[in-house]
Amino acid sequence: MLGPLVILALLSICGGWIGIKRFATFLAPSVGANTSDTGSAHLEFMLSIAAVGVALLGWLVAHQFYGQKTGRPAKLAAALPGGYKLLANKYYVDEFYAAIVVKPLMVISKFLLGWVVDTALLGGTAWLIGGIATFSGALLQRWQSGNIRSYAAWLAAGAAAVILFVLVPWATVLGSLSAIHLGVAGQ
Amino acid sequence: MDSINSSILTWILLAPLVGAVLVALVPDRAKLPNWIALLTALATFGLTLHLPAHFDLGHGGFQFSINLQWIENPAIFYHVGVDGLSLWLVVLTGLLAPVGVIASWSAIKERRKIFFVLFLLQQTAMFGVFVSLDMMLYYAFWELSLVPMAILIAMYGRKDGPKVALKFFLFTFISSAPLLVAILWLYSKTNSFDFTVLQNDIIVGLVPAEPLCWVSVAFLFAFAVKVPVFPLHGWLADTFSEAPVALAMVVAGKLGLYSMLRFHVGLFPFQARAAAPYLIALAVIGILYGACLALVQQDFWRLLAFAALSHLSLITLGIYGFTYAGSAGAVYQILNHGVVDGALFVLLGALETRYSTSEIAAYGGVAGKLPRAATLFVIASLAMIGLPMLNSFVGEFLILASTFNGVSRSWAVAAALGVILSAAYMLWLVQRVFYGPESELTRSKPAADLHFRELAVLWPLALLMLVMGLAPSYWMPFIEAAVHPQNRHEVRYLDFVVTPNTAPGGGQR
Repeated sequence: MLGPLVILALLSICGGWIGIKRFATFLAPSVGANTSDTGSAHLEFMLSIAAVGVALLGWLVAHQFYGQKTGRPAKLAAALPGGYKLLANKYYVDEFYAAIVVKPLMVISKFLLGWVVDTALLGGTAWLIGGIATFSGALLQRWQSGNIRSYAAWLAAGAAAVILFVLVPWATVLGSLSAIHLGVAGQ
Repeated sequence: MDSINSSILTWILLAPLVGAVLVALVPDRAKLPNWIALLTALATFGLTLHLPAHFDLGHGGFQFSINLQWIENPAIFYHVGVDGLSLWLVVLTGLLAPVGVIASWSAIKERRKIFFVLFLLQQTAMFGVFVSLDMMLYYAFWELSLVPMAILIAMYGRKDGPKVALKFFLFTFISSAPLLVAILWLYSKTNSFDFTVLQNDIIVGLVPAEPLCWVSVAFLFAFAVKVPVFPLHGWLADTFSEAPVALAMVVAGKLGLYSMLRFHVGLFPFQARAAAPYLIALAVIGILYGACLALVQQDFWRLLAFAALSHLSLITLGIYGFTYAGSAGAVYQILNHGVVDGALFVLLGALETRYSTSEIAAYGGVAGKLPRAATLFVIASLAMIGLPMLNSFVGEFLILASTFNGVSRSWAVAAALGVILSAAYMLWLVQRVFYGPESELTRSKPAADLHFRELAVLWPLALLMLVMGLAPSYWMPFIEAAVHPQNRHEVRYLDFVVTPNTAPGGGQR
């Protein structure tokens, strides 16, 4: 494990220096150049100093606590039980995140989206459309009774319907019907 | 060489058919059908590679075209050809064929002849959809692509085959009936089934505009069911969990998405533009909806189905954003999705053949027993999530960036949430299946790691994910040539070029 860690440690020091100009612009063909304003060189320098300073301070404290005065962490924990618990549980960020984001998302996904929308609404609609086809098929298949007389009756009824369709002057009939309906028949 | 160029598409269409006939003729002994199917698939893949090798990037329109009269009246032509849009989809279909054969190698134990005959028939149908430039020919291949799929789902379904096959058949067939009516209506107005003729006639206004709106809706509906677009995805999860792996890996996505680009956006630019806001909204809903449901699935096929809904919706977003970079990203992402989903299907299929279950909770600690499977699965999962350096990053980035810059910032932010969720469900799946303590199942059931033939398809796919992520510039010129505003009739005629201040950077070059 030491080898990879050494490589990563080296990269963490100098990775930010490599071709700053190149990396700052390599997405330009897609997102357009110069998308964000950079701060001044002075600000950049101060921020780096602050960041490195904080890291060094952390190293110093850790070195004191666990390298030199090893009894001190236990004493400190006993003196400030609340603070110790808060730190030991990483400020409860994971618990907070699980309660605020993960749990609600999973519950909504499973019950609202999964059961209500996907199964009930969308699945139900598909089932209904399929059901209409099955139901109308079940009704219509009674028509195919295999009974010659019933077929003959249907044939006669169909012929009558065709004759009616051809012989009746529909335009006149519909016209007079609508005239009656509108109450202007007597004109 | 000219004679090859002018007949290569016919050979690509015929090769799987010849293989199918051979499979039908040999006896079902000693894996003979498998070997013939594999050799056919490899030979066909070799033929498809001729296309990018001899494709002329400087040439605008369709290449390798063949236009022969098939039926005099009505005028139906055997008109085929490829451009930058369909070129790589043909190659992808060729690539996934041997992958499908290998995935079926030991999973399909009985009635192998019928399986491979229908599988090869399905290949021809898919090639046909991508190369047809005559609407009637296209429709014939489109319908043909549904039939072997439905039969194979019915025959080889895991639990509920016939029922799911019927569901798939009804969803896809009912939606393609209006498509046929629409194609016939267009013929009645233009006397042509030819794509280029129709495109021109519609753009110059030879076809009455008002009914055209309904015609475009009929086209869109058929394609949207096949992609699928939310809320028409009812068939997807069932099909993924029932269909044989080799078929499930090609059932969603590319056919429908390609058809949207070519025949909906390509033929009806005005109408597609009018429908775009609705489709963008549905796409973003689909991205989030699919991702949320993928989080709570208990069966890995169903998880993969909702993940596919989410990722395919992202591609739909790219298509209907009507930006140059978005369209290019969408086409690239269709290819990526094919490669990544192919690998994931083979891997999950391998797990299912070894442990006979697709229930996620039954697994755990598989990485200790099947380290190679675990390695490849992690690579494919990271590719699906869109990790930089792997292929999906390029496509997703182009789509999201162009949506952000050229369409709507809020839709883009919502769509990007889907990408985060995709990392959540995929990594959680990896954790539950491959890591953690060994489950009862993994402990008690002895299972061999991936075989040589599985590795022989998976490592090339994994390598392809890396190469497509690092060097998209190899594929992009073909795609960009096809979707570039200067080469798109509709854009040129209708001045759809996105204005510079809203265009993504890609459009300004």
